[in-house]
Amino acid sequence: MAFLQLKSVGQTYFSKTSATTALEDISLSINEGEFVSILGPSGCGKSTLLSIIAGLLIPTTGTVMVNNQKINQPHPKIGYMLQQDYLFPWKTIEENIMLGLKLRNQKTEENIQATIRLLKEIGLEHTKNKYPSELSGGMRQRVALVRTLATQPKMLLLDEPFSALDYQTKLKLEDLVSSTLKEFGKTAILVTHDIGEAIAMSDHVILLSSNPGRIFRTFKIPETLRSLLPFEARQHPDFSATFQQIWEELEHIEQNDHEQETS
Amino acid sequence: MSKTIMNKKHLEFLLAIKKEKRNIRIVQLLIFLSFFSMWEIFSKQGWINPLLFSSPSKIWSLFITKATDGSLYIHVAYTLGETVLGFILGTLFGTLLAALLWWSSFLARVLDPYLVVLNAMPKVALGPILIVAIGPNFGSIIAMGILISIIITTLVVYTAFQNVDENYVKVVRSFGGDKNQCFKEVILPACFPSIISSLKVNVGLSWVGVIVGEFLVSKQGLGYMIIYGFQVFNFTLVLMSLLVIAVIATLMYQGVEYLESKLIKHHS
Repeated sequence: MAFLQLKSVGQTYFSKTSATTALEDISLSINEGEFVSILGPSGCGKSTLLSIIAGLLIPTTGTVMVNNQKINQPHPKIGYMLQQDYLFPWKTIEENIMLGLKLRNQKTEENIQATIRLLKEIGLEHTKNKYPSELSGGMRQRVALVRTLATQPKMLLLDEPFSALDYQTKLKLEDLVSSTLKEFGKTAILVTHDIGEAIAMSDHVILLSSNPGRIFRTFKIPETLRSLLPFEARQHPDFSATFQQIWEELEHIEQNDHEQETS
Repeated sequence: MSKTIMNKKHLEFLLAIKKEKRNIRIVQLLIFLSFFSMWEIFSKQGWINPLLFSSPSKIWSLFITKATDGSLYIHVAYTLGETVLGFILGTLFGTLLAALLWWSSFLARVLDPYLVVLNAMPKVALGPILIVAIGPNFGSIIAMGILISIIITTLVVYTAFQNVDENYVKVVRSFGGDKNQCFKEVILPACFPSIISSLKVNVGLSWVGVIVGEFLVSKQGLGYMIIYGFQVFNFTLVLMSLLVIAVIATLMYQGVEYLESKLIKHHS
């Protein structure tokens, strides 16, 4: 059974002078444990789509269902990770990772211990009493991952969580996130504009076209790559073939856009 | 480069910093001393009117007299109490008002022109009305201290509230946090530096409010001493009060600055 279902979701932004359609007729379903990437040119409404799934934004049309229940506010089983860590600078690392539990009123001794264990697993237990400004960018994003996982969501929404990091840190973090999510059997949606990242991390890749954002194509990532860690997947011969395929489709989208503009 | 040369260069560098710092201090001290000694000499020689400008020695001896008979302390305590109460309450009420505006953007838009007018208006002009409304006492002086700082605090803090990065709010909302929690967890702590810095501005404003208030109604306080000195043409008293105010206001400002450095260590 599909964990998440979107039925012809559309989003239009209104301003005084215009109505801009950011997303149109998005229908998709994601099964439990799947890792799906949403790939597309900038301005195709990727982040808007994620905000809708997170329940932060009510779509103009269509519905979002989690476990066959319509959602119109942030669902406790969905965690959201932003482009940057957005750790609160005035809170210690420990206070930061407990934020979700505090807000959801789940601050039981058991949950607190589980969260501390998570921090330990990610190798940052020693930073517990430090402040975010004392940590490097990669460490901070790892803490942000712990903060998102603390409330034990079933599904994670990742909004370009590695885009602000340097390349090496990004590769390492991809592996860490991928293996952590697999270990806990989490469902995930990753929004990115990095083709390699999408292929290396996911089971499916959804290509969005822009103006308005529509599902252009869906790719299944070969089984050979799925079982590998992102870093290993990048070395695999199937990787470049898939890369080529997606690259061409993206070029296609751009050409279409161009034609629309000139016609 | 070898290590010893590096060490030597580093030592020279540190020495240069130290030397510059010392030079600055020396010049500052020179300005201070020459200002007061020139004041003294000019007054003694009659180059400036000694009745109007008094002289440092006369001010100092008056200060000693007032300090030994204890009357100075009462005046200082009054003014100090009023000022501290004025700027703390002004900042507090201003922040509360800003929170209210943040809460309801409708209210914020409705009140916008009124705030602009109130901000532009010189608040001390309301003095006479305050005195009649509240009475010629402690209360109207505090009210003056609050009034003078509350609107500008509201505007500054409200702007800070609005400029908080939306993504922090998004984090709280993604955990199901409501508006209340967004305010408590993000908006207020994120704006702590702005609130403290408006506290710094309000120290100065509150002094203005309180001294003017004391001009108008008080039987005690440094403002009263100034106005009394003026009425009996005792400018030594006026200048002494002024110098005492300068010293205390500076100390207060430094105190708030110290508080700032303690409280917002981790805000970046």
